[in-house]
Amino acid sequence: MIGENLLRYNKTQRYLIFDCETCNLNLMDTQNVPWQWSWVDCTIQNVINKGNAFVKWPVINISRKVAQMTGFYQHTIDEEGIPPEEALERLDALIYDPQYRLIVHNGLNFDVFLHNIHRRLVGKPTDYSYLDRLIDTNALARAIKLEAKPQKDEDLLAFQYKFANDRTKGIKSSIESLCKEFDIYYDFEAAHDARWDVETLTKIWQKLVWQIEI
Amino acid sequence: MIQPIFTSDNSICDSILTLSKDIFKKVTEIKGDKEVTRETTEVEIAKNTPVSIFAIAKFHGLDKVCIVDSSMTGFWEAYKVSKSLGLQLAFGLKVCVTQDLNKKDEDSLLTDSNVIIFCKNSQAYYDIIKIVSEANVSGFYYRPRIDWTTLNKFWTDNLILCLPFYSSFLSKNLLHFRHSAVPILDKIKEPIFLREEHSLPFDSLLANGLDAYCKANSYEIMDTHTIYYYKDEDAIAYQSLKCIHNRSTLSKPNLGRFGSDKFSFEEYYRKIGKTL
Repeated sequence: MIGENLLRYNKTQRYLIFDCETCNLNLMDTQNVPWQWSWVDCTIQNVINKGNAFVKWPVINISRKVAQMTGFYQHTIDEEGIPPEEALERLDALIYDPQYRLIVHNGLNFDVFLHNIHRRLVGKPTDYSYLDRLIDTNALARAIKLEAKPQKDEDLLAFQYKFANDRTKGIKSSIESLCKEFDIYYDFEAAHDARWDVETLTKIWQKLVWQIEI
Repeated sequence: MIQPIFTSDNSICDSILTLSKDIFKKVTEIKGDKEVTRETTEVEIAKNTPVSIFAIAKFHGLDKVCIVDSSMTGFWEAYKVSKSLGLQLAFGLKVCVTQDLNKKDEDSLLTDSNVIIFCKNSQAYYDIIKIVSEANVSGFYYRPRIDWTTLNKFWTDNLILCLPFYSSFLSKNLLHFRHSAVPILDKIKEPIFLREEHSLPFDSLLANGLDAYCKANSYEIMDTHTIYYYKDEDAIAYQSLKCIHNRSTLSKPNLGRFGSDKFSFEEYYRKIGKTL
């Protein structure tokens, strides 16, 4: 069958859909600690497992506004948080597992940097070796709207970077916009809680995979 | 071998390193029951203050300093100070090259990319000034720009062309949608492509593209390390400066992919197996 190697037809391909919550939008500052990681382990049809880790950093400098937006509560961290090393160990066991394609929304411009901050804070070296398995749904959604397709033999990562960096006006690719487009319920209360974000992104990916030939 | 390339604060908001000549400071220390005064460079005692490229060079025993700036304003100072300190200077101008310098619209920005023009000898200064004048007077659109045709017209054998790792036509075309910077290298002989590694997620993607292009065209590659600040920890001061220029804040910098603190001299030193 033509296109049988496309991801949409691969029923056994495992995906790790992940997201993090942080203190601000700085990509380098080690005070901007990721205090929550959430993920969904799934195939294109079935959710296999879900995970969540609140990270107990010694200090979390978060403004009231961001705390409100992301649903940050210090008592949740105190009660449910685990040490940064343990959280990273759980996450990295999945991220660096080559069986997974990694799905992140705006990951190329945000989450990969935050993952690197987490690694550096626990004394691990920078390691972006997982990037060739990463799919950035924000970049792909923009590419679809701009009617661009990866060229034959084009590196998928390079293709995604082009659209992750694109600032064409009028192109809407946020989770909220994609929910609206795909008729997925967008919960304004729960949005920006990483657990809700990854579950919603799972639904978005199930739709998006049919719109682009990768 | 990795060539360190410094940028000074004459490149507006692109570095927190200065070209100051006042690099020597007197330090008084108590040894036993005596006060001992000795001379050192500002590098040793600097804390949260800008340091001079020349202080770094003297303190760490460099005999040659390579400086790349995006304007010529610091050239004379760099020349004088390096001469007075007995340091060899290699000066390069980073300039934007576009397809047509008379075209000044948003679409023309999609043909922009950077090159670095190094002076091979003292006559090169006069040659490079002509290019700078043209870029500022005729080609200015948000920033000075030259086009490939004009660059070839002014090109002489006194100049060396280098292609910067993060902003050459290769990286621009590879990472940006609809970007189409097409170099014309008629008169420009043997360009040198600079390859860097600063722990950014797209470094290996760019390096692979660069290696393939240079192999196919038999171009030379040089491993370099761009330096905007002295220590890794100074990256936050550098980022603050960029935020001020960008009218943003450290919690929302809006600086693209500013995700590395490895544009430091400290990281260069690490790469060559030394520590500060």
